[in-house]
Amino acid sequence: MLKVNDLFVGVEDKEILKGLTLNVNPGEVHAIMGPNGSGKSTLTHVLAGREGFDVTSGSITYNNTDLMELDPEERAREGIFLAFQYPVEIPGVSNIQFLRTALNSIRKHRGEEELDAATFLKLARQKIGMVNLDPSFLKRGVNEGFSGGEKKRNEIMQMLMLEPKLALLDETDSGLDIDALQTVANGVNALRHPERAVILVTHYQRLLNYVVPDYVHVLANGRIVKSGGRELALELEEKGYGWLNIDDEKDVA
Amino acid sequence: MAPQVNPYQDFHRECVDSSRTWQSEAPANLQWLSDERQQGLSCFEKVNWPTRKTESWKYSPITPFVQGNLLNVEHRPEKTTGQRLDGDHYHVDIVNGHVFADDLVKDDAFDIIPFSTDATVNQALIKKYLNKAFKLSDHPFAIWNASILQDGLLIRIHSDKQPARPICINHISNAHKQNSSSHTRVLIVSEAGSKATVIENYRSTETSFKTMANVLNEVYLAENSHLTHLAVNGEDSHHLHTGAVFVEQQSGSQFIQHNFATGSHLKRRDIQVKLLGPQADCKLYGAYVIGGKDHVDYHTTLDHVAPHCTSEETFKGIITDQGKAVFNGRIHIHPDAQQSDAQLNNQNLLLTNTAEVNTKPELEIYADDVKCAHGATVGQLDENALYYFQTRGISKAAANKMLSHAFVDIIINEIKVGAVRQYVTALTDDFLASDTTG
Repeated sequence: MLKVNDLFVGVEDKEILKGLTLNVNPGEVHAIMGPNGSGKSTLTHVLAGREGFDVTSGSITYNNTDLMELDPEERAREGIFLAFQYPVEIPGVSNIQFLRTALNSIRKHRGEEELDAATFLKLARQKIGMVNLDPSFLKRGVNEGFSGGEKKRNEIMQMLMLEPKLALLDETDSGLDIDALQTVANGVNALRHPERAVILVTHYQRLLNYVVPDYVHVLANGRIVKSGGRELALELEEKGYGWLNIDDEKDVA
Repeated sequence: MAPQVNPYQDFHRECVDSSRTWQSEAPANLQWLSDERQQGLSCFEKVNWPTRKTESWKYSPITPFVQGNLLNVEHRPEKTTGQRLDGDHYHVDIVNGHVFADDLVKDDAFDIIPFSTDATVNQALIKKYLNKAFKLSDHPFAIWNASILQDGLLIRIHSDKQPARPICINHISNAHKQNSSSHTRVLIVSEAGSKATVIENYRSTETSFKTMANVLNEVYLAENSHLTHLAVNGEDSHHLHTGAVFVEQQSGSQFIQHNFATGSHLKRRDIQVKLLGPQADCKLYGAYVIGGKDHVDYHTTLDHVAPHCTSEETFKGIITDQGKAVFNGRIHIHPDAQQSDAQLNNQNLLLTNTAEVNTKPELEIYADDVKCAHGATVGQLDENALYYFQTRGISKAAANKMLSHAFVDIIINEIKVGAVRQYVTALTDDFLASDTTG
């Protein structure tokens, strides 16, 4: 599904990803862990299509197309979804208006009929229930005045609405209490499907107690330095990144 | 040093001549205002048209008026109701400045008295409120209006009454024979304890002729009265507008005003509110959407004369293409106006680097125990927000439109009259749909 091959990415002369290779197949859940500044967030934004990154060498193919040729909205319509680490507040645009426009853009691209207001509302109410947010949040401005936990739940709710093929979660678990963490995990698990894949970027092992990954990768100094199964995350938790002979401080530079 | 010559001297002479012509030709049933016209004319003769050196007109040159060949004033336009604002309102129709007085609404809660009235008691009432809410010499276009007094009406809301529906004045400009200007006066008298909503809906029909509306409001709010005033300037690009609203508020009264303007060659609105009695409250909201080479200018002044008054003012605008916006908001706290609370804010969204805004909030404070805040911002759409939309499958162009709409929706959603809110939303939709920069 996703093939990242020997990818080098820089921002304003600073190299962040330095030869990253990653293969993700349908049905798989990959967890990407690593110290601060190792390039985890950069990877998710490069995949989602944020401007301002220079891909200096390497390639990203997604379902056999060159991902770098697509605008962010085209990637989204092709099934890529990024749950933001810091979801953006949009005063004046209601959650419902935002999501309906998003869903209908994607449906239109797939050649499906746009949903009318009533059908959409029914679906939205169902999904918002799954992340334990009150339906009144649908009428509020997108993330406007939401708490940190509410913003993350809202990201998961959007993911459930848009049903992506490849979901990227950028530290969605950070700053969450245990209830919210479970809600987020339930959302991700609900999305698991033989034809869908998930990439979880996380600092902590604890999310992986609820969403059991097929693979765990350690990203350090712009490349994946170790890959393994679920047990790798537990080992990291116990021994720290030092165990892998990565010097945190230098990599942060 | 040689005296400076006003570049608009010739134009001024032509204007004065046209006022004089109208004086002699005014319809018989409006002749009773000839003393007032003469008073306006003698003032008008002495005034100079503003130039770029006139501070309050620095960013809005009057050349579109000068070059517009607009001095003809129409006598008997044909009635049209096609441009009325939809909705359940009491309608008043004014076409090219002429008030259609035959079928004015009658109601227990209010009177609408046209200037063409022949009842002396009504004429006395009009004279009581005409030219009283402003100083003639201060506003050149107001003086021009005063020297012509083409037509007008007085709305009186009776004490402790509340009209069942909003009163909607449809100002239509639709010159079919030649260019023309109109000079209407609308007086609103809210008696003590009354509560009403008055809509002024400005529209023009697109013809090969140019029109200009030079409209003046004088608004008087007695003790504990409440008035919501909505002024929607949705005229097309060829139309010129100079409107002024002068408001006097007595104690405990509340004046809420919603302004909205699309762009045109020049639209200039002067709004001046005097808070004359304690506990008076004023809220001014405004939104403007300007594209092409259009120009919109709002000048507002809030005079806190009495103590314990509150005012709150927010104007927001979107400017694209080579559009220009001017905003000048002044708060004047007079020496006796202790415990005043005044807030003023102007925010602008520029969608292109050729769009322009000149914004200036001003504070003048002569009392020491007051709370005042003012601010102005000029910015672009947030890149981060645009990206967020895109990652959800929404195109950049659509995201641009949604975010721009949201920027002014915060103002538009304050409008409580559904028909006006919908109309203004539709005007914003049209504006954003025609914007190709997204």
